[in-house]
Amino acid sequence: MITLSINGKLLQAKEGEMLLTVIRQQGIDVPALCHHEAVEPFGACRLCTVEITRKEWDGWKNYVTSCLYPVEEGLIVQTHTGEVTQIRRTILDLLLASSPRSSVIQELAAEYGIDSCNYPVDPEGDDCILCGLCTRVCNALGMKAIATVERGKRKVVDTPFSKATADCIGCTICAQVCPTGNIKFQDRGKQRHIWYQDFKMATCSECGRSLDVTTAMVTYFSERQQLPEDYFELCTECKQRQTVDKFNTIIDRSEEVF
Amino acid sequence: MEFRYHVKPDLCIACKSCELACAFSHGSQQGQPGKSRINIKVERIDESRQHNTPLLCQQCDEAACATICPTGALKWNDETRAIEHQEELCVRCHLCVAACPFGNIYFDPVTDYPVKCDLCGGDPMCVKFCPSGAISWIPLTESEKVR
Repeated sequence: MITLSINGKLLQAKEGEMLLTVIRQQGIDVPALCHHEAVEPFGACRLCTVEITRKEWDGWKNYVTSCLYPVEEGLIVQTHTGEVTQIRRTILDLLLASSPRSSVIQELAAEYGIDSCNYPVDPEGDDCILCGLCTRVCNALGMKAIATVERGKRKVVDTPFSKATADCIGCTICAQVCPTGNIKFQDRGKQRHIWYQDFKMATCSECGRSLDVTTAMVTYFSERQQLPEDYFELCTECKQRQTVDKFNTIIDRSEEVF
Repeated sequence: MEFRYHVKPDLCIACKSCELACAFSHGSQQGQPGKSRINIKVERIDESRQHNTPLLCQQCDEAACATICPTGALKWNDETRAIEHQEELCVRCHLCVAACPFGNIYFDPVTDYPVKCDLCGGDPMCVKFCPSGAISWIPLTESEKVR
């Protein structure tokens, strides 16, 4: 165990844990847009920046992204000093200039006291902050369907050559983890549209209702996670009815009062 | 102490007190009741009779939900003997809900995360509110312990 101090409170953490994880376990609200516990930390948005120092540093300080900084013995961490808030305010101000219509950014910026953006606003800016969380999750789960393409101002998240790709299975995990909700998809009954293509939804073999997962997802994940595909034949309702039927065969209901 | 979650569907009167107890003990942070993890299925037989069956997570040893989860967000908790869902690891792919062979994982429409019975950390609230004894929480005797 490692002992460190966060906002003046001494606490214990496991070796190898990242500062942000420990900070959030304490219920301290440090913003982070590009962070997800399911993938390796990346440090793209820099919003989780905190101030660190040590006794032997004689008052010298450092500012680090807490998602990438492993806990250390004797570390003294401050999460909301004036300097830290100013760093976050600058980052949010810049994000607001590039994604002016994002409600997530607007709310965070307002929380940090930005009334109006201090940089030239990009009127065509979409909600993508290029943190790459979608591409990292897509890679980590082995689909590798999307990536950041082009460079500089033209950099976007996309499939290869902006075309439908066989690697995409329509899981919409990219859309689910996107911190600003910029990745859109449409569920139309038994079809789902995302990344330039339509996917067939898996349906209940009894009632025909959609299972909320695509057939491509069932094929891909049942092989990856070693679970037979026949687990995905019935919907929740029909499975529950099956369970009730099973109960009815094993218990004697004849003397029931109700 | 080890316990068994005992279900006797023939005693269930479908008062749904357990559903209420569950919803209120799993309230979301916005101060509203959560989605109930226990679900009473009512099957009408005729005008005067119905079959009521309380359905809830079986905490399977080899659970389909935990197996299919690509990020390991559903994990067996050795202390409470429940499979618990960790929101911070979840990517909301809906696979666990589709895979559960008993239909006992739901999607909370408010938080959009899957919810399942966590046995209230080893002291299920639903049992305390059951007036008919259809669900009970029974300590295991020495000979009944599997592990």
